[in-house]
Amino acid sequence: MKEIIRRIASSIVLIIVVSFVTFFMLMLIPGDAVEISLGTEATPERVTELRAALGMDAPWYTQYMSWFTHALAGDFGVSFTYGENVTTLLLSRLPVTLSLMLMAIVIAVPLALTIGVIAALKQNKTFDIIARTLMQMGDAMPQFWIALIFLVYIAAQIEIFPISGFTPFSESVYGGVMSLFLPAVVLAFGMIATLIRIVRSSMLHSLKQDYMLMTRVSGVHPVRAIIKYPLRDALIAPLTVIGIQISGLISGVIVVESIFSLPGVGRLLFSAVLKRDLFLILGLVSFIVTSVIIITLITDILYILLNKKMRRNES
Amino acid sequence: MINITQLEVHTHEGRALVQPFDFHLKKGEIVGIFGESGSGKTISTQAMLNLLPSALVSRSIKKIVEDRNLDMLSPREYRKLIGLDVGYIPQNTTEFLHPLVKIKHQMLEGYVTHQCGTKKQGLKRATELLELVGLNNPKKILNGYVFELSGGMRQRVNIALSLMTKPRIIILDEPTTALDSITEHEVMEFFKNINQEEGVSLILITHNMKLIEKYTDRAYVFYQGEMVETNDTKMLFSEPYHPHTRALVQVTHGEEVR
Amino acid sequence: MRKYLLILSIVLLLIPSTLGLVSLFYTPYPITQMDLGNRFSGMSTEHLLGTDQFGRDILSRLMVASRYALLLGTVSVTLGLFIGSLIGIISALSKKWISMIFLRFIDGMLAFPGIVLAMMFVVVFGDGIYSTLVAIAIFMIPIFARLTYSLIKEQQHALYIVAAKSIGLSTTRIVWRHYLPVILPRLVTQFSASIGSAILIESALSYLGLGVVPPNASFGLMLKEAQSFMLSYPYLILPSGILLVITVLGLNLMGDTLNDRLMKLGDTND
Repeated sequence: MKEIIRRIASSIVLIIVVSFVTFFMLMLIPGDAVEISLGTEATPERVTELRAALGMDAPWYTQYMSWFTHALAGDFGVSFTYGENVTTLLLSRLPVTLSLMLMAIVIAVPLALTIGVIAALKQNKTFDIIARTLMQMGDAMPQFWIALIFLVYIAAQIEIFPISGFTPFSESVYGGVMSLFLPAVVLAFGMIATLIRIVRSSMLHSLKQDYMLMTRVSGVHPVRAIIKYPLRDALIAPLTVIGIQISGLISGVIVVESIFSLPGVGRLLFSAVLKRDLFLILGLVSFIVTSVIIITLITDILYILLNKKMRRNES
Repeated sequence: MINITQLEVHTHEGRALVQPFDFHLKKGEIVGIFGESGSGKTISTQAMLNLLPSALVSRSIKKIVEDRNLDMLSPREYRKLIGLDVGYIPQNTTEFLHPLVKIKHQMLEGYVTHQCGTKKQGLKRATELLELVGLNNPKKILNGYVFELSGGMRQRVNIALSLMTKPRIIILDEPTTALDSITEHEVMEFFKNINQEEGVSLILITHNMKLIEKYTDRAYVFYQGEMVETNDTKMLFSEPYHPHTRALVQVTHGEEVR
Repeated sequence: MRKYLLILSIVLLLIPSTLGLVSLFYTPYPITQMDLGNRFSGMSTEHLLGTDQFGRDILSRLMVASRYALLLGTVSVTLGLFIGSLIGIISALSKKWISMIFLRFIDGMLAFPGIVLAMMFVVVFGDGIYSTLVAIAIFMIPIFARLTYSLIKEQQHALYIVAAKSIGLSTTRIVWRHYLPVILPRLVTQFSASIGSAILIESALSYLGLGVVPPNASFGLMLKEAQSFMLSYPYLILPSGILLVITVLGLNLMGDTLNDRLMKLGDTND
């Protein structure tokens, strides 16, 4: 229990520190952010005006406090480039990104489980070797390259997959799914190698354990024994790497959304970075990082709970 | 009950682990397999019943278990034979049962698979057996997990598990290493009892000569992958033949042997 | 089997390495030389791999791109290794208090998805080779820090360490002569694995326009430029893409085989 509270506390601290560091870094942007965003309209008066309006006259720590307190309430400020509330922008793009990530997971996980289990069962036989080779190659390919290839050779050739853009689910569920399908596959590509490795190694490890001997002595049919015991372990295995996977997924999302022109959070962040849109960057980065921290926290807590159960009475 | 001719064990690459040896076990006998760590006693015993881990290979001229040729059996018949008639108590208590599956499910595996009775009957038997091995609160244990138990308790659960299908042969692999001497005595007397009352044959694998002397009718001595001597226990101790056996007896008795 | 993989990885790596090395002295054409009359030409005797949208020789650009990729990858990961390991070692061996701070710091850095961190960095410090290098190094630091931290923690209570301490050896000495030899194999594995990642990240950054910028040459950049002409002249995607994959694959394979070798060594050592 104590440990859980500690983890929660340190996560909170982490979130604060992260937002602070992000803020600080952005403060260092050379060239006045306001000037840049105003672009051609940057007359000295307008600049001063905007600065005052944004409270950028105040010393940076005051600015940070102000931003932070607002952020806690859900107000991340206003984006220069879009003229809208950062939170509104974020929320409007979130469904796309989430659907995309969800689809990627739905594609990657069952595939990884199947391939990983079979590869483990047929260790070092043809299937295993082919699978592992493909994984190696997949690892070496940058996601944007895979995306490009998909774009050129699949989307451009086959009608059902749009080259770019997103059809909202409100208009057509089918259209929406199709527009997300290829990008999701690209993302799944990125996840699948690690997942397969984990599943396979977990299976291999479980198959060697003594409880398999128990099943043999009890005369249980080997298939049933495998399903009941190692498979169980293998199914749980991906959860151990969820944190890292999500992190990588987000990196991938940024690239993939840009290539397929999907109106998601990733692409929003990218534009924000290009345009040096301070509040937008700050808000998005804080949101993303906080989400990652929270997800990692949850998985860590679950892990601790499970371990506590297991270690409690170990003599 | 068991008759093995020229059994040997080696790795896939061909490295020999156990030199060819013969083994037999009569009904109602207690046979000891003695050797130090690494002498090959566990894998020899496993090899006898085709229970070797997949990394190892064994060959033999004949393996007869309960009048059946083990290598001629179909997988199904083999599983039935092992599941029903053979019990195994492992050396290492920690991983023998899966940590995330309830104990009762694992204890019922053999029982239910080979249709010794209904699940309900199985649970009843499991409860009785757990009480028999000296565990209080069997219901709680059955519904719990292995990691909730201490090493000694786990050993007892393993013992109970091995008795579920009323086996006619039980293999005890270093059953007392993890136990203190009082419990060790308890466990050995328990099995001696089972042997005498129910006529169950036992194979006792151990590196403890005193146990061999006290409990076994016959014994095999293993040394560095080779079965160097076999005899009735009394003869082994009074007239040891192989130098290794002699040294062992000497140490055990703490006196000179002619 | 292993031997073949090792040979394969070396062969694969030889391609970008030689290209890169040679590029220091000689490229068939200067990489910025445009020949607008000869754009999009396919492979020919003059231009072994053809020309790009500006008539620049693709082979020459690839050679320079290889050089950048390997240099960038190696240097950034080395930086990350040194700084990260230092942090990891210090935090593993310090008192609870200090150690906690370092750990939280590392966790903080890890919480940023790779590209996000690099993007932020580039935003602040501008794009170009040096920024990218530092950004990737920063990305690598927590990885090595966490690795060294857990490796040292593992060994802390091992007999030989306790023995060394009891003789009264100074911490530096213990680290240098006792800890390091043991954790080195794992570090080396991580090192080679990371170079591949570093190159991929760099290419992603360049692709997004945040890393190496024109008129320089980088795999990612070349792919980005190729994208615009995807539909009319798809060939352009291939040379840089394939060479990139070869490089990273070679690095990964080498890392894997090294890993296996070192694991085996480690086992026999005990």
